[in-house]
Amino acid sequence: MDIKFLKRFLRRKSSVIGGIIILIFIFVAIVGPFLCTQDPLKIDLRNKYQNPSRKHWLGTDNLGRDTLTRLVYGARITLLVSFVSVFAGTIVGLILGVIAGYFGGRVDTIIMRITDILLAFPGLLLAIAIVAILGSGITNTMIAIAFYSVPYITRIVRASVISIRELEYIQACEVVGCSNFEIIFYHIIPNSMSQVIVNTTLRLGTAILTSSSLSFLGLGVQPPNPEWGAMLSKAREALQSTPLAALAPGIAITLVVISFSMLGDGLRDALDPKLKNV
Amino acid sequence: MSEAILEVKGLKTYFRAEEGQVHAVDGVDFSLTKKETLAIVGESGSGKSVTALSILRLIPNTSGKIVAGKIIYNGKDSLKLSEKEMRNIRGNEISMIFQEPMTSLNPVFTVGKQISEVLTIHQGLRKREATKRAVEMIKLVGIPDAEKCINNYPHQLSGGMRQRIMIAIALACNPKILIADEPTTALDVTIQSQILKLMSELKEKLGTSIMFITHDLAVVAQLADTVMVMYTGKAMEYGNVKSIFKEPLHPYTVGLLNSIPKLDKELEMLTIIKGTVPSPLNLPKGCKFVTRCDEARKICFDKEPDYVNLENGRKVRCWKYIGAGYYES
Amino acid sequence: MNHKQSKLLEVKDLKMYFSVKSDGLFQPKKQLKAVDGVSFTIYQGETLGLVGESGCGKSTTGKLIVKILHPTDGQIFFKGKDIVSISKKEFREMRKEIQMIFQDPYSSLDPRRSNGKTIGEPLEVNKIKGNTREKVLAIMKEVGLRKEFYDRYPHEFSGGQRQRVGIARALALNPKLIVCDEPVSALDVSIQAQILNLMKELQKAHRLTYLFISHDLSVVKHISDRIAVMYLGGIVELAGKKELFDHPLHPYTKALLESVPVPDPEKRKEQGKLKGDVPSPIDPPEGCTFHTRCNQCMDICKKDVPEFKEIEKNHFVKCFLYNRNE
Repeated sequence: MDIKFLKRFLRRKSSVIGGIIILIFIFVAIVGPFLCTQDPLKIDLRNKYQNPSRKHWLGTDNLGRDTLTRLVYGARITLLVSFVSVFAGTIVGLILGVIAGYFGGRVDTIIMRITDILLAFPGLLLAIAIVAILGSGITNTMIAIAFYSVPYITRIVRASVISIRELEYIQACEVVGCSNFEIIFYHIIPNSMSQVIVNTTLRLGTAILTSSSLSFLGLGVQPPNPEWGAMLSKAREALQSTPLAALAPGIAITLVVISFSMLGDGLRDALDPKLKNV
Repeated sequence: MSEAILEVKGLKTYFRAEEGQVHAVDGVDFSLTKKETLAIVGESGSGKSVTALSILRLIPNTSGKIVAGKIIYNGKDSLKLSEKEMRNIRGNEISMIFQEPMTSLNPVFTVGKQISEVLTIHQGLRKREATKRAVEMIKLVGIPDAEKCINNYPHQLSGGMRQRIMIAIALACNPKILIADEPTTALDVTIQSQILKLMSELKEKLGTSIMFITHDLAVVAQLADTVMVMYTGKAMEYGNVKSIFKEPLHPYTVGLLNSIPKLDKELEMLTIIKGTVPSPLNLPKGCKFVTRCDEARKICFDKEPDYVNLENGRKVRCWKYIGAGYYES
Repeated sequence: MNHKQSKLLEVKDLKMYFSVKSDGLFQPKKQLKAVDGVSFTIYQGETLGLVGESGCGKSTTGKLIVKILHPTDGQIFFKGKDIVSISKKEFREMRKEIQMIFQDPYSSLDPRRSNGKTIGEPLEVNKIKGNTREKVLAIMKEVGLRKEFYDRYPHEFSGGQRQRVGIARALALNPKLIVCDEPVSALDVSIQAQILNLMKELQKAHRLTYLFISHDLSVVKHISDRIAVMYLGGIVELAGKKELFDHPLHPYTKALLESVPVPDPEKRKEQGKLKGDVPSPIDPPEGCTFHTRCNQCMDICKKDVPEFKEIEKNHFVKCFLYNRNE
């Protein structure tokens, strides 16, 4: 069953490329800092906005810090923020979606109305609002992103649960004596997972954009943390003289977000025919 | 012996699946004469529906293709006609009705519009004339209050009524051939009975030939003049309905007839055909029925039998009836 | 019919009404009377066939008995105990004795669970002691599934084999009563025969009692001992198999028997004798629900509802032709 899925997935070159790029970034995030010879926080004002040289492969930023090193450390922060926040948001969304879809009635109505209200706000605005209330910093950025991911996941899970709930095998579970918990945990959630996986993967890309945007605006991860969005923001002032300082983080963000997108598309297509057969 | 109005020779329609090529129809021959009701019988995977779609060239070309064969209609091979010429034939000279009337009728148009559309396209009738004809058709298929009915939408009608509308659409241009793909399978038995009666009456009145596709042998016995039994894309047996039921030749036909519970017979256990239909990607080498046949001999495993003509118009694809080869092995 | 047999299931005046959206903002809410006063008894060891066309309420009746649905009114007695009003906890024990076989082999098995896990689930969930895997393999053997199929998934199998998995699952808890909801309707003709034979063998081997729900009269006749005919939410006739087919009393039963084609071209029947469509269960006719299509309709049929009465020995009918509701 899973071999067919892999085959289908591997057929789509763009998704495979996306997947490989993500893996490379994850590798860089984990191992990279150990390979870096320079200190991402070491300030060296005499060498600010340097072009690429033997010492600084990608040049330096506004405070003379090595761009490449900051990029590598920044990968860790960026990926950490997006993975943790989306993961948290997915868990909460999964729980709410299952409760709303399975139990229906008033619980469903309440949850869905709240979801609808949250979805009415553009994601970034919501994130900004939350950070404005809670304050800036990594943790609050993660909370903000998690918060606005919840309604998307809730909706998708709920739809999936509702369509599965009426299938005969769920009725069969009731007849053999499964409790509600067993039905939800062993049957409904596993069968909803493909939708969740696809959506979560796509959300990861969005999360990075949001986190970068927040830092760009000075609201998210605070200096001197090397977050890509913050780096991009600061390097705008040197766009004419040292474009690389802005391009490097900019390209990194773009690359990762597109890769998540391609990966998500590929997952969806690979999982979809299976859903059709089911 | 009337002349054939449709002749299918060596039809082969193949589909491309993820795991390989599926020979949905693999060399089928038959013909249809005026006012004849031919029943094409088979279980899932037999290729009966694909045969019907192939005749009207409705095979989706993303996954399937008619790779061989001739379909002679009106003296011409319709497989060689242009798409425009085919469109002239569909709904006009050869019509089709399907199993699920709800999904075959367009939910956003009134039934009256759907009937008159066929008339305006194929017979060039003006709107008022076409609507008048639509009302006549609705009366013809036995729906009361036809003037009110033309303004109804499909979802406002019951399953039986929708099927009647489908028949009205199909017969509006008085086609020579009506292909009916499991038209009563989704209907209740008392409604099925009404539709079967309607189809017999209309056939008599309009002189239409009917190609009736089904898995239900009782319906075949009730309605058909001739029967063709299909299995895994090939024709296994053919003949006049009375002689097929009285004296089935192919072991598959025998098995099918014995395995259905009969209203008028009392049996403790039903005779079964052992095993299951083989996967289309993994068909046996010789005769395709060999894995389930109680009478299989060595030659059946090695070579596929030809579709031979026997006397009184019977045809069968089985080594039992071909020369001495069967008895030697 | 040996009435000294013990009553396994008794259903009294069972009703299931569903609320339906009203037509307009100020219209009263409508009710779909899926089951409208159904009473019957099933005796230990027999097969009671429940036959009818779409919308008659036969599937709903089945679901009420296994308690997937809770009735609007009426009583269900299993082994003499009222199972409608008991608590969920109390019913948990009895649940094991009433199981169900479902219609659609494609949606009645969880596609993400292997066959072995599906068949074993009843044992796990009810914390049955003993080696689950061995028990499952034994049941699989009985229903004709090879033991290699234990770890395989439903989508790898045909409809008939999946249905065998469904049957195995229903047998896992050693039930007394199995409600079979159109178990062969979705299968090919040649596979139907295999499954029907299997069900008969299992019934003998395990002394099972079946409530066999189907729209196919020939199939119902083959497997049942007694048959109940349903129309628009009610039972119109109930009799032993031979009695029902030899002497049908209710006009609907007669029409039904006449409509079923027989696989014999020499015995062609006149078709289309029962006119009209089945009325909607949201707006059923007044009086006898069948009166709008009955060719023997009398004035009283339009106004009053006939009683479901035993007219001849063990032959029940709900029709004014046979009793005048004195």
